[in-house]
Amino acid sequence: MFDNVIIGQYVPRNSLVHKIDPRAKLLAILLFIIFLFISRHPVVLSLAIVITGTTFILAKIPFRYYIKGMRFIAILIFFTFLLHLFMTREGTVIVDWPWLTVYSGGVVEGSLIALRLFLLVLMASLLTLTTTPIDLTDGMERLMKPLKRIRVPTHELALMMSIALRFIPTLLGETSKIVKAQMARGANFSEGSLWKRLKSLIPILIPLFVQSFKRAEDLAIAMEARGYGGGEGRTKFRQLRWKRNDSIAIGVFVMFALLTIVFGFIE
Amino acid sequence: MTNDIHVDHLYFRYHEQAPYVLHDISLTVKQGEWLTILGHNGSGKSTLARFFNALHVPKEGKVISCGIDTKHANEWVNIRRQVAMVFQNPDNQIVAPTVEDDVAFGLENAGIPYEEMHERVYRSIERLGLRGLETQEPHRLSGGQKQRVALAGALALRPKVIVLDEATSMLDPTGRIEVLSMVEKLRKEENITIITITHDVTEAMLADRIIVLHEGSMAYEGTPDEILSDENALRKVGLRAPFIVQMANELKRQQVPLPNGVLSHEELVTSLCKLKPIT
Ligand SMILES: Nc1ncnc2c1ncn2[C@@H]1O[C@H](COP(=O)(O)OP(=O)(O)O)[C@@H](O)[C@H]1O
Ligand SMILES: [Mg+2]
Repeated sequence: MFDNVIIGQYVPRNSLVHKIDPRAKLLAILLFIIFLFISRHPVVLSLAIVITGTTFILAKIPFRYYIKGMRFIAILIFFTFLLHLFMTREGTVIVDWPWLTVYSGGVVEGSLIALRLFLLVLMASLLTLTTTPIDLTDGMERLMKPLKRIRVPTHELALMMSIALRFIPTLLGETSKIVKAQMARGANFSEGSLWKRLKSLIPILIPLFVQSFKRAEDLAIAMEARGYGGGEGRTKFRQLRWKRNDSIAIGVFVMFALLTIVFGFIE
Repeated sequence: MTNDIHVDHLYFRYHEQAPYVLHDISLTVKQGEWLTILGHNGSGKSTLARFFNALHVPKEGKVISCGIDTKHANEWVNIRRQVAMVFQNPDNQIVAPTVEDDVAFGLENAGIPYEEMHERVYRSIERLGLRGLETQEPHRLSGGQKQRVALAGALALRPKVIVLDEATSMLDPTGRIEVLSMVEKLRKEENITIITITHDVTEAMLADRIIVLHEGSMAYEGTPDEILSDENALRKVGLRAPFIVQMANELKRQQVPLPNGVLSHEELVTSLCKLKPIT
């Protein structure tokens, strides 16, 4: 039950995509998302499809893993599609019922937005499916390093993330223990009005909070005892090594970005 | 023999108005020794332990750890590297999301270069029998394994002293043995001074020397033989003698001629067997 939380949706495989440096993955995704929404040129869109498709194949993760995280988003995409379909008033009229008119522009616009969203979600899933949250945190910390100069506490943010990753399963385990303990005392969490059910959560949340404060205090003391004194002069056990494949991956996405700009002018 | 920890007339209270939690504590821990601080809940054991690695700093009295007076704030990090600590709750002291990251935590703080850190982390993991669990997540480990991770993190710093503050009290018997045998091994093979804090009289048997703390004062000091076989003295400080000691004393009351200082199962059995030829 806790697997999904701690390792996110990470699916371990021995693939090229898994081995790419998290920094490269984050940068590539960023480029992809920004430029995917800039151009609507067919060449750019096909290229985006090809890139996503290739990454998908290289990652060697079966499609069913993507579906798990996509159910909700699929609904979202569908509604966005409908919204654009009905709201766009361009092109020729295709459907003309008394209560509904659909223009050809609506079909184009709706499909375009659906395609973009789908590619975006697929890419984002690819990132989380092939990278552990620890690596992601690490990658983000390194990428944000320049922000340190403008006083963004990058080290502290990363440490917070990593402590959260460490403790979420522990807290979940504790929650289920408390739930069981309260149920053994006759608490009922699944019946009654919404208000009643919300109120029944109080006896879970209070012990959980109290425990968490105790934990936080203990942890702070333990960290102090282990010589923690902030990010200054700290070395890192986790090393990220930029490899040739990382440069190639970034290269592909930079090319994509450039092409998007070029075709943007042609339009 | 040099001294690793030296406490001199230490008094302590948490607030100005609060009562004193520690009363005139003076003690010395010799290098390579295993000292147990024994006392019931609330007797001030944890408070005292936190003076050893400068988590608390004395206002009245003096604490010298590994030759450094703990009142110097700029030495605290240095002291904590030499006097490592393992705490009671295994869940609340593992910081990082995997075993190896956690073992590395103290080394990262100390700014140890990567190559050396790498070597030390895996050596510590190896020493504590955690091979194969390097990338495991802490919440999947047993209590005993978690405490061994904490010990590995301590060992990686190459400390002179390891303080275990009730580190086994939340473990099941297997976990307890697992951790204590590791502690024993570290003391023998790495010559690390051990200070265990406990309210468990059976655990206190493993020590070279016991200091009994009662209401913040040092009530008794002596070898396990001396301290643990004295039922009355232990009762006065709210502790009960180990079961074997109680049994041996009861047998003595029933006129069975047993020697003094019977602490363990084996000793009792041997002593009883020696009786046979006489009767
Ligand atoms: N942070 C604190 N603030 C105030 N009083 C404390 C604090 N920690 C412990 N005490 C008090 O100090 C006494 C000794 O506590 P402690 O050293 O934790 O005992 P032990 O570890 O032997 O169980 C207790 O009476 C406790 O209530
Ligand atoms: Mg305590």
